[in-house]
Amino acid sequence: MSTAAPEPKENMGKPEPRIDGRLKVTGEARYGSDFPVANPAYAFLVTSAIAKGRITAMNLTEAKAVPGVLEIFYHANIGELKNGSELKMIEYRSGGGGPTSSIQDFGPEIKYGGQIIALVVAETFEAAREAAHRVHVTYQAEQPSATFDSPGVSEEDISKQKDVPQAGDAEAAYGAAQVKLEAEYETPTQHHNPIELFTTTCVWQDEELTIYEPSQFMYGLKANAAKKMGIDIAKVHAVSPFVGGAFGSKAQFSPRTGLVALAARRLNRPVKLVATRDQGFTIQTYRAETRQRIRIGAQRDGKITSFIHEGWEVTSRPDPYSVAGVEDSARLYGFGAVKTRVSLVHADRNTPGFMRSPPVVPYIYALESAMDELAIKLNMDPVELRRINDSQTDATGKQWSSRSLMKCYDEASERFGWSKRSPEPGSMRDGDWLIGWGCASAVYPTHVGAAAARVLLTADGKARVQIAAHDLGTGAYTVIGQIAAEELGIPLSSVSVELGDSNLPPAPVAGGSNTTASACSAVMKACEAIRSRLSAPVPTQSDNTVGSNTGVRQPNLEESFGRLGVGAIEEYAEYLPPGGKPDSIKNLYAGTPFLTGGSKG
Amino acid sequence: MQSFQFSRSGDLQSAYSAYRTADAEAADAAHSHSQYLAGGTTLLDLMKLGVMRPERVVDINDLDRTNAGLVEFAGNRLQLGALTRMSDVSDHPDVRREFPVIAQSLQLAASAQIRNMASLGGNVLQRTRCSYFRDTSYSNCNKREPGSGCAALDGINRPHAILGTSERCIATYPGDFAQALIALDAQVEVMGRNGSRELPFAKLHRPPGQTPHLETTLAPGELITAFRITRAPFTRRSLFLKVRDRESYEFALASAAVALDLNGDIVKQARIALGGVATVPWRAHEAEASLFNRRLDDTAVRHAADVAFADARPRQHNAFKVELGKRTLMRALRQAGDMEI
Repeated sequence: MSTAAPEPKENMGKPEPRIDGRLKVTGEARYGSDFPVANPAYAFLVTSAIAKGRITAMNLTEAKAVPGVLEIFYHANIGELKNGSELKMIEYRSGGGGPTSSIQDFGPEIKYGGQIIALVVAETFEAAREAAHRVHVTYQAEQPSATFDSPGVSEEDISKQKDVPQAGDAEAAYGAAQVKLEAEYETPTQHHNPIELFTTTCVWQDEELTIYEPSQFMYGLKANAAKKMGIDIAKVHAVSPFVGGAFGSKAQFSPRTGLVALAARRLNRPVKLVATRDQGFTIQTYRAETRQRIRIGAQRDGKITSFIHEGWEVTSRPDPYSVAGVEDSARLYGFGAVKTRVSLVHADRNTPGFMRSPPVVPYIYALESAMDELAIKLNMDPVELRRINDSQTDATGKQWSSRSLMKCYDEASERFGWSKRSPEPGSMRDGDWLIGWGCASAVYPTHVGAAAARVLLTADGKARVQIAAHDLGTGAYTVIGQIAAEELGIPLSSVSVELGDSNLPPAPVAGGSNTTASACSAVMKACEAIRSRLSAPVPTQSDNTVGSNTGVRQPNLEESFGRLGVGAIEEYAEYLPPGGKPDSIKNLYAGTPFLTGGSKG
Repeated sequence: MQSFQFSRSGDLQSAYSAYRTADAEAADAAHSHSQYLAGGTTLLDLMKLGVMRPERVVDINDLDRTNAGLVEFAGNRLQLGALTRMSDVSDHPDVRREFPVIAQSLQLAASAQIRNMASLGGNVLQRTRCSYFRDTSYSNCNKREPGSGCAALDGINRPHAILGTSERCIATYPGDFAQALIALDAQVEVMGRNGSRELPFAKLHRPPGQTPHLETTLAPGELITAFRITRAPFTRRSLFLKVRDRESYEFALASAAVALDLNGDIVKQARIALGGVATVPWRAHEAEASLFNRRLDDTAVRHAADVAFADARPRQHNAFKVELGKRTLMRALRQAGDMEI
């Protein structure tokens, strides 16, 4: 165990080395493109050099002449995406779980910059790349309307559909306020382009499709691939035991996956695609730029009487993807009255997608910046302004499940020496550097989802835990193993954990930080069932630390298995969080996760 | 990448011959069918991107067993072999003590892995990071395809140059080390058809002008073998300041290599080179002259910065580089003035 690891805190896990750590640092962990497949062909993408317009010609002569090229797939030989075609359209779902975008075709219409327009497949990666560089595309380019203020973008108010928070008459309260602040903020486009590139390997055998691809949602990948290829969901097997970072970018179904599956089927051989780093910026989703306008009305003593937050978010022409973080900003303090509004701006862009705390990051940045500006206007300490407006309920009357904001601020103030802060710009120094101290609050909703797991305990005291959850580098393997070890009263070293495979029981999408709560709940239930079959004494714990075996009484496995006359016990369990409906697990098997929590929970 | 012939040479003569066999007809280096391979940190990238398509690649890494692999400091002269690696030189105690601007320019470049691979000779010849140059789906790049136009002029030109540009090319020279060399009046030793010759480093790069595809004055097959820098009253009071979008593994938006010889706070000599803002390693002679015999105070520093950027020609997205470049230079001069040597 690392000596640098901190002592476990109340209700936190015992520090354990990652059970997959050695595999990763020795290069033995298999990521999607590492899986050996028989006689693979190698693919390379061609992406659009224009952002809007039409492909008028694609000259493939030079590309096909590169030795080793097998085939070039593009709009003319793929055909339109429709019912009955080889690749189907999949319906976009703005809440996630579906395709990355409604824009799923590969030309000839170009709808955003860097759209996939061809897949070159060859005997080697180098030949595919060389041929891709020799594909000559002629475009009829049009002027794209790519972002805010571009002529030709269209605005859509989605406040009603999103049911964003409203409370009291915020406009009237703002009008009557003693102190008014109005401010506008912008956040830029951001890309989640993780260390592990976007890859897809497809293998067809006996009409069954196996997909090796880094994924945050095994059952989503499986279900969407089945829809895309028009085959039974039982005929798709998705494999992704390790993911080298995702941040939301690997949660939805990408057009590339269907394209690789099509190539593998037509060529009747496995096809492996590793997109380049550059291509990762356009073929996947991203966090779109936002604009926000905030108006705050306050009393002179700092009490906020009105909070009005409006947001504009860029999205693609067809899709209503939005993050609508007013859901969080409107609840962070005890505002007297609240008005919020969210609008989409449809532009010639790929559809954005979930990226690291999608709603919270842009919107709380704006709120907290406005709070600081209000503190200056009130000539008030910014921590005190937050204290005056601290509240266990929001303006709609909704109660926080837990809130320790001022406790955090007070402890931070103490440790920082906040009382020594001077707010005057340029008045504080650290050596040669002018410095300034500031503060900001952060908030994140807690989520939990429906999940299922299978646990096998053998008489020799070894356990195998199986769940199609995802370890994106977060430590899911270890924490799931710790839970099973603790529940079964065996050492962590006796537990093997299998994740990231659609042949295992389903877990929700690894998004919204729900994996530990969801997957471990299902694993606990399976372990409980094993314990009760063993009739072993219930473990007693001397402390609250999860994953620590201290205080757990070892069940006498030998005696129990002997009494039962079996060599192993296997239990499958389903976990349904509060608010879950009876068909939540059934839907999860079909690729639709059920998640609850946050302000809607 | 396209197929190519590969050979490996351990001495200068055979390296030159191997290069020229595929290339005897080339009128200039841009039309050369051969390339030398040292660390490969530029060449291999550009071959994978289809930007460079040599028919013959001559691996010269074995030359590091010759003088081209040595760092020597004797008398007043520092000699840096062209095959020495960036990390060897940036960590060299004599270089760090006597020529801090050189050590820092190397230390702040690229990543540790690249610094361990990249040779000094290759470093000064690295190609621009202009995204229109590096992406062959853009057909108009005068550097890649002479006469095809320049997509950067009216494209996304935030990282592009504001000094030394032409209507044919505004691509930024990307390196850091070259600014240190040009500031310190380095000499370059080159080996070619008629044996070796020496030229001022300032004469190595060519501004784009009408021929942006011709980046250096090297003849086809000519090979840099060493850099020579002479210790001077200003070399110890020297530094490299690099400003960029992130503090590591990133190219400069603006950089300044400065060296000062001070008498009290009066400038006896100043050397200034600017990076991240120019099409070639850029020496700011007028700014240097403006500091001569002046007290190194805020007024003088500000004036020098104004002079250095007086001829700046910003485009749509890079106008910020004028102010950023000035401030970078001002801070570098102040920091150099405050150095304890």
